[in-house]
Amino acid sequence: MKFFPYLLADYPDRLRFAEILDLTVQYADTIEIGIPFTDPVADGPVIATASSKVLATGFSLDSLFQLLHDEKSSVPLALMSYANPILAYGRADFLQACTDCGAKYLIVPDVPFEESEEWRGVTKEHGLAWISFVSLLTGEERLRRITQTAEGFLYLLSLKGITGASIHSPEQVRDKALKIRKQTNVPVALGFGIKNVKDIDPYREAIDAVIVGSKIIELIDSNDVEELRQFYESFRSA
Amino acid sequence: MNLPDSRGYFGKYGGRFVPETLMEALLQLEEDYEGVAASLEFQKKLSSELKEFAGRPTPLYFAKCLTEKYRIGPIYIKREDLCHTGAHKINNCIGQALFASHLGKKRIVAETGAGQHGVATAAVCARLGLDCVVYMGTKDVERQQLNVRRMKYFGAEVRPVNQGSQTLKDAINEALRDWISNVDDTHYLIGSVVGPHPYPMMVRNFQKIIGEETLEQLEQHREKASVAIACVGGGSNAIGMFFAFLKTDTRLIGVEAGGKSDASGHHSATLKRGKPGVLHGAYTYVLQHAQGQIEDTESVAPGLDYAAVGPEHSHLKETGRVEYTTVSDQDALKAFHTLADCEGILPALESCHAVAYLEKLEKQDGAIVVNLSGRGDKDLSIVAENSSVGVPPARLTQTGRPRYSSAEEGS
Repeated sequence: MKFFPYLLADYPDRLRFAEILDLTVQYADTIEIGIPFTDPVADGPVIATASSKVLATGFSLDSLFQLLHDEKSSVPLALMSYANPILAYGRADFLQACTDCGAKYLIVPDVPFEESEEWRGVTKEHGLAWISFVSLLTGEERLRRITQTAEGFLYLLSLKGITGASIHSPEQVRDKALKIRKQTNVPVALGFGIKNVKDIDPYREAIDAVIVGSKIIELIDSNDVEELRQFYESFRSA
Repeated sequence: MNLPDSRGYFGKYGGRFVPETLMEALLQLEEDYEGVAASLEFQKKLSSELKEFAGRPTPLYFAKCLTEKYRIGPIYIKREDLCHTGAHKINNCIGQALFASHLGKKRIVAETGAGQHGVATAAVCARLGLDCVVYMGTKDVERQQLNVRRMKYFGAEVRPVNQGSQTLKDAINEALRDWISNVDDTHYLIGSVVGPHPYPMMVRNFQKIIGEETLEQLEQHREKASVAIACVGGGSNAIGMFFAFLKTDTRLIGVEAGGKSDASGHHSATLKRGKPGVLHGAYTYVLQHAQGQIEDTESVAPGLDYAAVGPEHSHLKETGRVEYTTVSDQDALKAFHTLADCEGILPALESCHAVAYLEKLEKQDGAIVVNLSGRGDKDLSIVAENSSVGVPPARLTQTGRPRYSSAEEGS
């Protein structure tokens, strides 16, 4: 099982983010780096509050790209941003900066399949993979179209809700993952609602990777690096 | 061409920019809307509710005193403030709630800024027996206590939102999060022509009755409108007035909240000071900083205090069919006192922005129509706090006659 931890850029501050990134590189297969946004509607209170804190201290995309460029992460990076900061930066410039800092994947949670054609094309031109989402509510017809164009990995949402909520129906999630598996060879990464390594037990045979976000932010908040290391370790050996 | 197109675009604005969890619900909503809303049975029910529950048609009132004061016009006021619950919002709420009932949804979530949409939603939910949760920024809860109480009397749960600027934008974020989490049994009753497709189209179609009635009423008065004016926050009362006029040569003017100043965070002038971007499900004009973070907004009128605008307005701005301009807080407050003193009407501070623009208009060849989107009872505490602005002297003369009495009245 691959492990894709989520870090919020510059959280809890620039210096500690760089330190946590160094630590995370040792345990992750891919690191998702979230770009803070004032109105993150897909995120729950933990990530939304953390985003507000980063923005209040004067976040800059250029300085994030510089840091990632300097760090030269040895594991692939998946940049996650809501659409508006990308459009404001200039989509092509943003994607070029992603490529320059070694990113491999782009995740934009408020650009669904129906709006993604142009985005996918431009992303590909810059050598990045566009990550598509599938939810428990994604119907057969759309699932077929989404899996046909999938690249990188498919982001399976484990619940009908926002980040940090709890998974109510593991059977439904497993069935959906298996259905995706039948339609594509692109790896399936499960995200939203995973709080500890036991949470992935019902899906071990059905998914390829697990994405953990809110819980990591909570561990960063507790300021106990050893606890964060042990948390990472539990997923590494899962 | 009929807009929006099949993907929900008005020109290059609109679309559906939402998390995947909502996509099937939106696609279903669009399909059901086109099926159910077009049916004769639905239209008959809607028409009956608009008449019996909302109190339509609303009058097109000849504002004699304003006409004499400004020496333009004749000026007519479309009295959406006389709708049940005090604003045009009820038109859309009846439409969407009836529609949600058809879909078998038992729970409604809504957002509100000024409280007018929240009150209208709560009232309609009470009438149709639907559960109702209304999200409202903490700042708006404080300044709109009367409407909060109204919502609670109608059985709605009002959930204050402490995030961000604690106004309409943040209430929409929370309503969207609620909808994402409860999409199986919940309908999100969006209160303006904003959000992902099909909402901007659906809300416009439930509000276009304002302009359709106005055109008919002008004909009864044997008048032709040279200008129609409406305030713009999200833009539902404005599109409601303008839509039927788009096929005429009437000059259309949308008035945004100029707030305290042009400085970032001190106004809500999205179309004047924003730029295209994505917020709350649509590609449209958005007030934003250079790096795409959404700006805080401010307006004396809580209902205009919003960082985006309906995508159809963005399109109408670009095509030039509608002129968009701003009016300051000060001028809006002054217009409140003018309308109260002159015509005996207490307008909502939102609508005051449209009324205030009359002072900037030169003489016209035909009638001037102002859409009075809501009544001002809810704003009395805000007006009182700013009572140094534009309060007229005591109105009565020594003879007890109104200051603006005409020769005709005196004869």
